[in-house]
Formats: sequence, C-alpha cells, structure tokens
Amino acid sequence: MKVALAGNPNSGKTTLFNAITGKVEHVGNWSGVTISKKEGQIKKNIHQSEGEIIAVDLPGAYSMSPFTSEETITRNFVHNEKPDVIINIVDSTNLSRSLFFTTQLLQLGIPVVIALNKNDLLKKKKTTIDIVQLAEKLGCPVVETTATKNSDNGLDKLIVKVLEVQDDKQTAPFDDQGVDLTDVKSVQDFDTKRFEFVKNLVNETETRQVKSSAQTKQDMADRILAHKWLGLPIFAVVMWSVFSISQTHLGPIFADILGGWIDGLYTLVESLLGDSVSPFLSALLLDGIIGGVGAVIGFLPLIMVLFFLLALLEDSGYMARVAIIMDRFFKKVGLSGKSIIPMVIGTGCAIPGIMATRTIQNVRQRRTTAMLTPFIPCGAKLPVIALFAGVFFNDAAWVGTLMYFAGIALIIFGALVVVRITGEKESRTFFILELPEYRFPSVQRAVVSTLSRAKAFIIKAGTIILLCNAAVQIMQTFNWSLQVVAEGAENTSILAGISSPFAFLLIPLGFGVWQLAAAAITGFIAKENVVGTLAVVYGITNFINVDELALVSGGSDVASIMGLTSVAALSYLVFNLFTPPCFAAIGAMNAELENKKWLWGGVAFQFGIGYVAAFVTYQVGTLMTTGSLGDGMIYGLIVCLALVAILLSFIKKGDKEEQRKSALCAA
Amino acid sequence: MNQAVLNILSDKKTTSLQEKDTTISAQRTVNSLVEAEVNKEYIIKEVISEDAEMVNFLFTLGCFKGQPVTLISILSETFVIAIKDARYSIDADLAQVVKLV
Amino acid sequence: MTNIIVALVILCILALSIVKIISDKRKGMKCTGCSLSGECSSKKSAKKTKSEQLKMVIPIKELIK
Repeated sequence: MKVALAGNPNSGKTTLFNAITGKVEHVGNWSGVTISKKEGQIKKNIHQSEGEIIAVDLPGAYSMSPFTSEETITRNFVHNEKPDVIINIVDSTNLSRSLFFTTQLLQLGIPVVIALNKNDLLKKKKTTIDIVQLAEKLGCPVVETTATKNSDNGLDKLIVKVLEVQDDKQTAPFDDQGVDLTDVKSVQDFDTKRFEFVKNLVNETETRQVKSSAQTKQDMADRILAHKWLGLPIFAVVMWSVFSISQTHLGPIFADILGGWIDGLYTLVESLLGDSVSPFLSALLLDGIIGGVGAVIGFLPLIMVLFFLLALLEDSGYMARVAIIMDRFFKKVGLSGKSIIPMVIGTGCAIPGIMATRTIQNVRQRRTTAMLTPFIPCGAKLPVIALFAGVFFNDAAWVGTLMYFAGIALIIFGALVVVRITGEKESRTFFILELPEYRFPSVQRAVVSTLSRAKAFIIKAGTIILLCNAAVQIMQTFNWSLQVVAEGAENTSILAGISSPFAFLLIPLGFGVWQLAAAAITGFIAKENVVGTLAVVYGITNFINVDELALVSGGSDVASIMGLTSVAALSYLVFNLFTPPCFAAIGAMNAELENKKWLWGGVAFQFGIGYVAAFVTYQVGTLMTTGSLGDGMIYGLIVCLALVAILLSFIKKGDKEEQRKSALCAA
Repeated sequence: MNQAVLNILSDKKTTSLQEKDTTISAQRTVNSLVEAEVNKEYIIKEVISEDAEMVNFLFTLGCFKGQPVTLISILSETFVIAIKDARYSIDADLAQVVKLV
Repeated sequence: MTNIIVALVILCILALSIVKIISDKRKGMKCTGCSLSGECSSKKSAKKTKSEQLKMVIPIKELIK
C-alpha cells in the first residue's frame, strides 16, 4: 500500500514523514526544503495492519498546475503513479490558501485524508476550526495533527483513517465537469470559483479572533532582523556566535575528551604491537589508519556543536529572513533571492545544495547558482577550517566567520562576472518567498539531525578517509622502484613525486611543499582528506590536544612542523575552501548545469578564484606582517594577471553579445 | 572647489525633494503595491505581467483580482505582504505588477 | 609471525571499508557516509517543466522581434 504526502510548502510534510517513518530527512522552517520525492516504511508501532505501508514524501505544491519543477514532481506522482491514499497535509493556520490545493486533490478519485497540521499553533492564535463540519463539507476525513510533538500528536489516528478510507469512493465537493480545460480563461474563472468555495468553507468552519493581516511581534522582529542596514551585521554576529560557541568555547571541551581517547587507542595499539613488528606495517596501522582517521574524527565534537546550532537556526525561521537581506545584493548581480536557499543547504553538503538550485526558474540564474554554491564552506570543509583556526589562530571564531563571508563575497563577485560573460545584464526576474513564522527551535529535532550527521561523519572517516589515508601512507613509504624510502629521503617517495610538480605551482601562494600539495590533491576526493593527509604526512595524530604532540612527532607545535607562517596558513585554507569542491560535487554540478561549457567554465573559474584569492591573501598578508614580498611574487603575479586577462576577454565578448541583443531588441 | 561641492549638494537636495513630491502625490492615488501604505487593506484590481506563469503562480497563492492584500512592511527593498493568512516577501518588480483599486 | 597477524588485521580493516562502500553503492547511496544522501539518491526528472520550456522560448521570440 502506498500513501502520498502532499500539501503546500512548509506545511510540515517532511516533519510528519520523519515522525511516521522514523527517518531523518532534512527539514527546515521555510518553503522548498524538499526538492525530490522520498519513500519510507511507516513504523509498525503506529499502524495495526498486516501489510507494509509505504509513505511517499512529496515536494510542496500550491496547486496541481505546476509552476516550479518540484511542483511538477508532485503533480506527476499523484497523476501517474496513483497512490492508494493521499494524506493532504494542511497548515491549519492557513486554511484559506491550503484548501485550494485540497479541492484539486479531491478531484483525482484517490481517497484523501486531511491532516490539519501545526495544530499547536492554532491555540496560540486563538483560532478554532470545526473539523466535523469541515470533514462533512469536503467529504473526506479530517484529523488534527501536530507532527512536531512526540506523543498525543494525532498521527496514529491519522494512519487509522488512512487504512479505513483506502477502498472508499469519495465525491469531490467541487468538480470541474463541464469546464473547458484547454481554455486558459475558463480554467481561471473556474479556479476563481474554487477560491470562492474555499472562502465560504473557511468562513463557516473557522473562527479567528486575531486577523492574520494584523501587525504582530514577529513583524516587529522582521523589521530589525531583515533591516536594510542592520540585517547583514546581525547575520554576521549570528554566524560569529555559531563559530565562537562551536570552535572556541563548547566544542574544544568535548574535543579534548575525545582526543584523549584517540591518543589512548594509539598508545594501546602501539604497546600491543611491540618492537618486533616491521616498521612499515606499524606505521601503516598507527600513523596511516589510526592517526589519519583519528585526526579527522578528533574534529567531530566541534562539528557536531556547529551542526546543532545551524539546525536550530534553520528551525527558527531566521534563514528565510537571511534570504530577504541577501536578495538586494544578489539582485544587483543578476541572481535571485532564491539563490540563498541552495547556499544555506550547501552549508551541510554542496551536493544537495547544488540540486536545490532546481527551484530557481530562470536558467541562467539556476546555472550560476549551481556553479557558485560550492564557495559556501560545506560540512566537510569544517574540519579544515577548525584545524587551521585551532593551530594557527588560537581557535579564533573570526576565521570561520570570515570564510563564510568570503564565500558569500566570492559568490557575489562570481555572479557579477557570469552575468557579464553571458551578456544578460538586463534580464530581470521576480522574487517571491513565503515568510514562515518564527518559532522556538526544537532542541530534540536538532539533536536527532546532529546525531545522524555525526554518524555519517564517522562512517565517512572509517571508509573513504581511511582508504585514502592508507594509500597516502603507502605512497609516502615507497619510492618509484618500490623500495622503502630511507629516513631523510622522503622527497623520493611516490607521493612526493606525484605532488611536487603541483607544489611548484603553489610557491607563490606560500605553501609550495609537496606535503601540503598532496593534502590539497586528496582533498578533491573528500575535503576531510586535507586533515587526514596532513596528519599522515607530518605524523601528527591529534591537532587539538597539542600537549602530547612532542611525544609523537618531536616538534613542539603543529605550526612549526608544517613550517607555515600564519599568513601562509590562511592562504592554504583559502585555497582549499575556494578551489573546486570534491569530485562528487563536481558530478552534481554536471547533472544540474546540463551543459559541458558551463561545467568546465565553472570548474576553471573555481580554480582561478581559489588560486588568485590565495595568492592575494599570502602576498598582501606577508607584505603587511613582514614588510617584504612573499616567495615567487613575480611569477605568481604573471599567472594571476593571465587569469584576469582571460576573464576580461570573456567579459568583453559578453558585453558585445549584450549590445548585439539590445540592438536586436531596439530594431 | 568648495563652490562645486556645494553645487552638487544642492543638486542632490533638489532631486531628493522631487522624489518626495512624487511619493506624496502618489499616495493619493495608489496604483500598485509599490505605492501602498503599510498596514492598510487594499483590494487587488488586477495582476498584469507579460510573465503569464508568474501571474498563474500568484493566482494559486490567492493573489488575484478582487482579493484583499495588506502591505506589512518594506524590508531591505522587498515588500512583505499578507495574502490569505500567509506572509510573502516579494521584490519591487513584482510589487509593481500587483495593481490595486 | 606478529607481522603476518598485523598485516591481516590491516587487510581486514581495509577490506571492511571497501565492502561498506561497495554495498552502499549497490543500495543506491551515492556517497558513503552522507546523512543527506536521501536527498541526492533519487534521479533527476529529465523532463523540463512547461514553465521552464516557456521561459526558454520567450527570449528567442524577443530576439526574433
């Protein structure tokens, strides 16, 4: 048996889906978080039936005539795959809009059960709904639900109703018989009548004490949080607080404990191995596997705190306000305010972020956003940020905050360039976003989502990162004639041989050594690898609790082992964050851009940006801190100028295109 | 030099005054949402745009001829409006499209 | 002797992680160790929506004008 969950955006479909299936799909308090359909089995303890019930979570839709690609997915599913029952999730605080879609669903001939969700909010708004009368008028069962609650949430009752109606024949209260569906005008007239029907229905069943268009405290809050000038500084403070708590205060406390355990494991295994084991094997197990994976896992507490705080932010409804603040800037560079949503999702992982660009209607805007979303530091880049902030900047929260805002700045710059290259400066698009109500974020939901991400992080560290670290360890142990490299002759290893040519290119950026180049290269497989590889090549197991460091690697601090100045470290961080993301994300870019020219242009652009940004960071920073120029200034400058020249030639071509177009339009 | 700066300043002053004038005169006859007063309910006269899909989309939100709409506030150059128990933020271009009685 | 045991242990660890990656791939998960892979695993609908098709047509019409 198949049950589809359909309803307006942000009515709580995915929250309800998670509650009845026990899955942990991404939810957020704004419209358009779900962009593709998801299936899951309804938990056995909620229903008493023998067979399996599959629930299908669909993207939000306002009507059956799709406007966005997600709405199309929903329409196509209910039309073509004929679910046995549709659960129509209705935001009970907004009947007058939601029931429009409901009446369309009731026409399909598939049994419908209405879940009047967000029931807890009704009381706060002093609104009452006569559900008996509503069910009678609509001709289908209506169940009050609060999907965010753990118990007494009406979900078991909902499933009971679903089982009851599965073979029922419901008659639609409002039918389009006799309407010419091919004629736009008559359909619109008919839909106006439909809205009229809904309006009368709501008048009869709903009693409101507070008019919804009245100014509320929330509107007051919006005036400050999304203020023209205050909005952006407030957002910066919010992000800084997130980093401050996760990176400087709460995170390191947990990280120290975990680091102690990892060190304990290292010493335990070391003592178990004894002296009789071959040095290659013991190094592979200790430094390659335990040390490398341990170094990555060591950052887990910091990342968990950060994910937890981001989950709270998403749940509160604040992110939709950030979209409003950003719209003004994005609009100026030819993006839409909707571009912010993929970017917020991209803080978790760039891949779903890139996929979320589907919600953007305009093709150029969609492609530009897909190409630029990876500039936002994703979850995998956080350990890298945490490593460099911790080792070189004393756990300062400004490093992470700066990287996020640098990412946003690069996106704005990138969009500006793209709009010039494509020659579509004048094209305008509309921006509309539903503003969700603020709510007190649920700690429990944030914990659940954080734990699921933590589990994923550990699995990734234990699989892909582990394999990469082992490979790096083996490659640095042997030379090209497959002999173990002698101590002091590490430069002859396979790893050094592969990464040295790249290291040469990186000299003007301040980190032209093969070890750092190797870490940057493995970073393209997964960004956490940067941390793992650095741990392996420098023989450091623990980047956080550095007291024990002297025992492991002989150096007094990580900074001196890597031989980097703080400026060069920042430059290395910039390079790793703003060059192309991992291969998987490039694959997602390929799928969404649907155009090879855009894909390779995008990847080349990301390389160029990463290189130039790191170059500027290193050279300007070195000049400011030491008063002299950094290494390889001249030849780095030549590379950068060449890159800029290429970009300018493309822009010039785009401008000509623009002129040609406007000339055509004028003619 | 100083004179030049003064000239520029006074130029600016006059233009801003002119802008003010137009807004005052516009308040008398409100054509579209852009000119609407905050916190006052209006009835939509028409939604006109070349972008038929957008007009249809606004329709599904309940933003069409004869429906009430209230401008809640103007935040960072976007218009927050209340239609059918929901709040939306729309940009100035879209607000221009929604004509009021 | 100890060398062989240690080598076996290492091989076991590596084999386990490879098996995990392969089994995830078979299950249709694109990225091993991704809490969000539910959002990525479903295939993209190749068809463009009408609105998208229309939007691509309109600029061409304008150009012809």
